[in-house]
Amino acid sequence: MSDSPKITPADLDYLAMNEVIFILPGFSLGRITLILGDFGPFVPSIATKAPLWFALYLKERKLCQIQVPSWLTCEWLETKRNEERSDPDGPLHPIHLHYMEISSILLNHASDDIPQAEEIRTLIKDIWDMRMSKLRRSISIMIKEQHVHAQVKNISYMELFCIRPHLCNSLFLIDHIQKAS
Amino acid sequence: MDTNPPYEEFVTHSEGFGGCIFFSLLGRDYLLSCGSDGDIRLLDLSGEKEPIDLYIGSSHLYQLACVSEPTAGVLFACEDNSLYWINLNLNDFSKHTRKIITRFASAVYCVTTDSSGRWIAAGAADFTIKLIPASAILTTNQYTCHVLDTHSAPVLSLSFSSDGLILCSTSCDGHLIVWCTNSRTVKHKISVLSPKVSDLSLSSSRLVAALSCMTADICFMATPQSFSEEECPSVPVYSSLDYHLIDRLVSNSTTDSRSSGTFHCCAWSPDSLYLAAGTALGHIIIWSCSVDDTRVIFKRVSILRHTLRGDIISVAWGVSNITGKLMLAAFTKSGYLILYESLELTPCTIQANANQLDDSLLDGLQAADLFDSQESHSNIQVNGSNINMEESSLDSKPQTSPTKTDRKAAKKRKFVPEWEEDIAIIEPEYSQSCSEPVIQPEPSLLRQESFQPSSWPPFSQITGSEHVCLCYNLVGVVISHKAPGAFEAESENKHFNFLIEVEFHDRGVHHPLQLIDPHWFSVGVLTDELLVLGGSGNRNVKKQPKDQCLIQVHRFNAWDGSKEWNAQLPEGENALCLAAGRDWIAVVSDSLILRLFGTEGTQFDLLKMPGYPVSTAGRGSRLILVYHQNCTLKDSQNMSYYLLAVSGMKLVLLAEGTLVISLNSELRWIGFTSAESPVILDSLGHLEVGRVNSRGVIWAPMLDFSKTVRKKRNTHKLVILGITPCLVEPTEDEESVCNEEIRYIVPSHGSHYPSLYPRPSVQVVTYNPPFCSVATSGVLSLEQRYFLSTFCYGQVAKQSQEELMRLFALAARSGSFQRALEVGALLNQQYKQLAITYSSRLQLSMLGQKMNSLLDAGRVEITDTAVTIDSEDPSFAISQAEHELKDSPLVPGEEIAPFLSAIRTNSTNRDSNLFSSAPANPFKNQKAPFSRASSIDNSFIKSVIQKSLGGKHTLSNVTDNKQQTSDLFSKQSKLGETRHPVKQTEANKSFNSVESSKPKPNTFKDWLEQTMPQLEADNPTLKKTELIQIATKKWREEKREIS
Repeated sequence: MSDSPKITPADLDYLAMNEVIFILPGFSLGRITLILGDFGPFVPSIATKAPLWFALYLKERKLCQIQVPSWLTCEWLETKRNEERSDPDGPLHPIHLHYMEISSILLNHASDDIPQAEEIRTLIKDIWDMRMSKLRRSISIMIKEQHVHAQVKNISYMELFCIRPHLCNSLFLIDHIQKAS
Repeated sequence: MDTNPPYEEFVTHSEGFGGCIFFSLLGRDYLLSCGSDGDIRLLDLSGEKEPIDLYIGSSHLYQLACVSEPTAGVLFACEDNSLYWINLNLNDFSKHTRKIITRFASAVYCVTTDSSGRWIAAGAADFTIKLIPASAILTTNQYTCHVLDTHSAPVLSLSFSSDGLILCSTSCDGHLIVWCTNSRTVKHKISVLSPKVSDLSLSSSRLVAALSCMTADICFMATPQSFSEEECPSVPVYSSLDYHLIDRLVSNSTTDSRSSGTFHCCAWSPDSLYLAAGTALGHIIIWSCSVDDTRVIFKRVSILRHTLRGDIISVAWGVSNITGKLMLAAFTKSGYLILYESLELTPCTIQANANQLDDSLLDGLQAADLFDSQESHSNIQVNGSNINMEESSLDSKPQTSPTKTDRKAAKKRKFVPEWEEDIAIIEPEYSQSCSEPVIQPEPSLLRQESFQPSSWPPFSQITGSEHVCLCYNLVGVVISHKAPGAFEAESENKHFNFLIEVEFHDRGVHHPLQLIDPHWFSVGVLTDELLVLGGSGNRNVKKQPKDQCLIQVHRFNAWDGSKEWNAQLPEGENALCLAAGRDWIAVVSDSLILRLFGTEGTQFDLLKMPGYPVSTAGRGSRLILVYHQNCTLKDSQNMSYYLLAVSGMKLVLLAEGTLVISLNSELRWIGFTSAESPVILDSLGHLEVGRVNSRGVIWAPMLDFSKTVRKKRNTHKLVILGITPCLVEPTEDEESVCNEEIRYIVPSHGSHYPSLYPRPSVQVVTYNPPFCSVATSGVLSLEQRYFLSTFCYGQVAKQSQEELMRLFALAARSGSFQRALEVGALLNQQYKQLAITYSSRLQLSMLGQKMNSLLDAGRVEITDTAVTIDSEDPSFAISQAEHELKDSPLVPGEEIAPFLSAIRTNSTNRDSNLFSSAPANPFKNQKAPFSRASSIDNSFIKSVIQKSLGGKHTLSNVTDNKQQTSDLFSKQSKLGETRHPVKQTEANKSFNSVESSKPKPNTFKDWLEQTMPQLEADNPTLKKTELIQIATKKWREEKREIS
């Protein structure tokens, strides 16, 4: 088995936290310098950029209101879902690479700032299901037809995380069996 | 009758239709219908009832008429301004020939023929009626076509009497005109409806005139009304004898009549026994009419209900050739044709009615005793058939009853109750043609209601809302929630409980508040220190007279125990608007009183306003009130304002005048900038900022929201939160000139007011005064930048001076030197030097010279308004001035007098510049001390003067001869007409010593003149040359003494 460092979904969440989103701060503060860059000055109720982790920190203390990113709206997700649905055997359509993590974080912690949160949950789940099924189907085709290499575009981190063990382990086993025989 | 007799339904013209008629030819019955799709369909009633297309066209067809002579044909009125005729080819309906009978200037709305077949009448939207002999159909020759054009609005319907002598027409102008066909003159005009409309689409009923003929003499005209003064729709029936309103037929008894809806059409049956009218709710109501010698009685015979099919637009009667029974067809707006092929109706007779007391509207004689506005029988005397109809109306009526019935008729029109019968009603008895007033008053705008700035309109105006924002400003949001009451009060209406929620933008100011509101607050204002709420009584239940308006104030960060206090306004007053400032609260009530409270509750002042209040706002120590002083004009609200300063429990009126907003607009928001200048926003999106000076406030347009906000329709709905200093201090980059910005929120697409959940995002914009010839929006021209910088920083500030330099440079480079000079004159000394250097670098010597002269003029010129300002800290100067002078208006850069006293108290020995902003006042007493001359300047002048004049004579020279100093720097000085004595500072002792000594002659020549007489007296014998020699010696000696 591979000895690759075990990456966990928590790590993916951590990476997704670097995403910059808009917040409506409930406090006033000057410019702050973070590793990600300069943010602020924060003026009450004026939309300002902030990293996601910072926004969540403020949200917990009820110091800000998170503004939903443009791709986390019902309309955008519906069009995405229809695109994926209309193309069941085609490639994956472009989507935010951390969509799964960010949407789950925001829906868990800031659902009151998200309009139509329940519909968004179902839409995300639908998109996830469709994309995963496309991936699985293409993997099984690849294994059956014994392709040597494959190229995947627009795969998000969470999907990659889910596919990696299957793919790696199954290919490893196939190789093992072929060598044995 | 409640159950409908058997009927059939067809769907014919699906797009809506125009009209229908029965037609019978050669023993077969047909029903023709025309519609807005342009088709004419034929329904063969004798055979299979299958609609057949007779004619397919494209323009909307309004009405049909049938002609049987000379050949069977159909006339139809079309929207393409023509009256057509097609012949009916019985063998093949689709084959026909079409001919245009006549043309109008606009759409033809109605066509009819008389029963004798002689005339065709057609009316159109160009207000004319054309009367055409029926023989014109087949001739190709010219025929006389009579035009009747008395109407002043589109003609809606026409109707001939059975003998063809009378033509009745109705039009949108509300008149029913009776014409005599032979002479084509107006016989009578009845005003049926008062509002005149000019378009068919606006008059919701087709004001149809249906004429019937009872006997040879009397015809009845029925015109269904939809805009009637009374509330229940009715069909008034007029008699053609005396054009007298016989009756108003309603569908039911008074309480129920509204259920049938307004009447849209009516038609008399061919035997004139029945009148059918169709209503908006799908009912067809049939009355039967019976006439005897004295009375005409209408009795409702049946109601045919077709509520599912929509409103009935047209009805038509026919008599079946085969069965001889009455047929009724009705068309609905949705395109259904309802056909009753054999309608069984029982006519009513007078005798049968006399003893019946049912819910029918006419119960003869007994009704007159009760208060019954539906009393409806009239006495008409008919004396045979040879009466001139008009004369009989005057002579032969019995004495009492016409007047009584007339009065009653008049009463019906005016709803005067029975017991007021004896009050004389001055009304024309018959003709109700309204006369136009001679002088038309100019319509004026509706007065604007009072409002609280930055708030949503009250609950009553937004239906269905669960929350209303009382105040949304820079500090936070105050929302009033409506929650169903936990208890039901004694009154019928359910009480609502109101909850006030306060949320601050900056959580650091205060945590969010939730207050229960038993007083139903309707206005509120929020500042950093307090929340003021005002309101009275119950919004749902009618206000009890005892309910007094309560003002409740919550203080945040109160150091004593009292966090809240209440004040009750006197009885009968209601708080309309609130304002709060640094340490005061203002309440404007509807009894025109402005009350001022301190923040802790002391009432300290009252003011009676000259007019009904519109709005109020406050910030710091300023309060502005806007009120209606006069009536509104045709294009402006004509509001006035008071600008007051409130501080230390004192109220001072600073300025008053007319509020300047755009024409045809209303005030939307009022507030202050951070420098406490008033700002107004009108409903067209124009933002104006006021500059206060000694005589009042002048308003400058600073921003046009319609150019900023993307969706222009939202300009009158945007809510300004406030004006604050900019987020980021303007750095050295070119873009930012203003130090202030305006924050506002815009409603999202489709809603009336910005949504509260989730909170809307705040937009930010800065001033953009509408200067000419700005290349692209967003990029400010140099003049705009200068204007804004003087506005924000003052004219003396570094930023403004820099903008001026830029303007100077631009003007100099582009060759307009006079412009450069004008701009240069505004620069202060330091920048003038720079300008001179710049112009010399560009080798513009003339400009340089002129600038030079300006420089000197500015240097030595001292007027009352001269002042030195620390050029490196202009805002310091402004703030100092503000601090020093609480009671006088603060002006960004306009007046310098406030700075004078302020700066005097702060002596600055740093690099200071002489500056004079106002032109020298020649009448002013020129003894102003030159107190702040810098030591550097003085010493420089001194040293230069000393060097040039050789030292000995300079000291005394300087005191009173300014000519020399200017001579040093330029050949002549243009503006240096005012010269003041220069007061010395203590540093220049030599000056002092000079001043203390007596004035001595400066030159040898002067001295010689002085001493000559003495010398001559001493030495009379010497000649002049010798005297001069002696004099020179003496002069040298004297000078040696002094030095």
